[in-house]
Amino acid sequence: MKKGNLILALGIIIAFIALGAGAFRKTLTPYVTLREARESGARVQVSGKIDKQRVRYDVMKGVLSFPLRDHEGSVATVLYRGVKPGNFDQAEQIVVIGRMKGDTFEADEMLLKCPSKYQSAPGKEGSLSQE
Amino acid sequence: MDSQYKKEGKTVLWESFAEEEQTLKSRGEIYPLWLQGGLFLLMIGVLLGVFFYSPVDFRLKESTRIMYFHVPMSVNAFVAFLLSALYGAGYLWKRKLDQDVRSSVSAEIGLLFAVLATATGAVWSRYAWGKYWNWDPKQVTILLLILIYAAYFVLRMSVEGEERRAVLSSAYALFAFVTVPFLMLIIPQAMDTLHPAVVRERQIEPQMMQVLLLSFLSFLGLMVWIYRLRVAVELQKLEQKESLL
Repeated sequence: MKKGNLILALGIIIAFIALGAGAFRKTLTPYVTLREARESGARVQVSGKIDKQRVRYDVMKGVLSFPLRDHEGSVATVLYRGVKPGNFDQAEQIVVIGRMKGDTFEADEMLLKCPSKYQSAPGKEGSLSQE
Repeated sequence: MDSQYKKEGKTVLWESFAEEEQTLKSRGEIYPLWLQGGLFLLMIGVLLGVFFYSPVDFRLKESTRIMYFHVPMSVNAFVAFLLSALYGAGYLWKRKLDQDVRSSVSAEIGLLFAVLATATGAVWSRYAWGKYWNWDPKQVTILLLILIYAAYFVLRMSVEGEERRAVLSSAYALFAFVTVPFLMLIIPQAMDTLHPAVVRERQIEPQMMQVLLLSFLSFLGLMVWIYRLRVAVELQKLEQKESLL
């Protein structure tokens, strides 16, 4: 193999990867924004942050409702029917799976983003931030 | 040779194993006894650390401990893929077949650890996220990587002739590695993922870090051991093939 060809081939590969990283960004991730969920109307996954202060759980009906703020900053109320996941109260970020109905997002599945710190007990932030 | 084993039964088989082991030892490719013993003790220590010394995250509970296997495995995969590319370059440079053997053995081990890391990750995410598999960017990219290296072995199997196979697969190993930093580090970091980065950001408790560092060391030791054994076996096969020609 000639040296020129090798460099050319390497260049093409790197260009492809750069292109791929850009063009397939959407394909590589299942998570969409609330705006995209509203536009498509299909069953999608929306990732965002929970407003902890305004979480309501109706034990009788088994409905969990809370406002979700996505990365673009738009907020929608999420209605989740099902059992409240065990570590829901500690979750910062979550992914809700379902579809947009009007202004509310009706979710039938929920995934929790794991904590960004591993701690043996809740109050130990101080000892970690020194690291 | 196979028929000879069948005819004369177990003793011949055993002797040939012993003989093979002797050759491997004389090559110095197997770990010396003190290193084997040391690694064994280290592994015992790591296991004790993982299950008795390390605290667990108060949210993730016992699933925290999967980290001590999952993270070193993925680091091993990265290192092995890097070695595969380096030896691939070594072959293209020197044109010595042992370089190709080292490159392919590294790719094999990298693939093994990538699959193991993916599997342990899926088990953990069942608990932490709520699902084994969610096509999270981290999961998609590692799957792509596994496919890229699986294709490497398809390539090897489909090419006849030692030299030709070595040239093609060495070049492929080099190019395949170009994707590794993107797929393992850059893309997952740039995208929205459920995957944590507590180790990179040093957001774990000191005891956890201690156990993790020991685990890195013992997994690395294990990988080098597997590597040397596999290389010794493959080199011996190569020699046998050459002596037949």
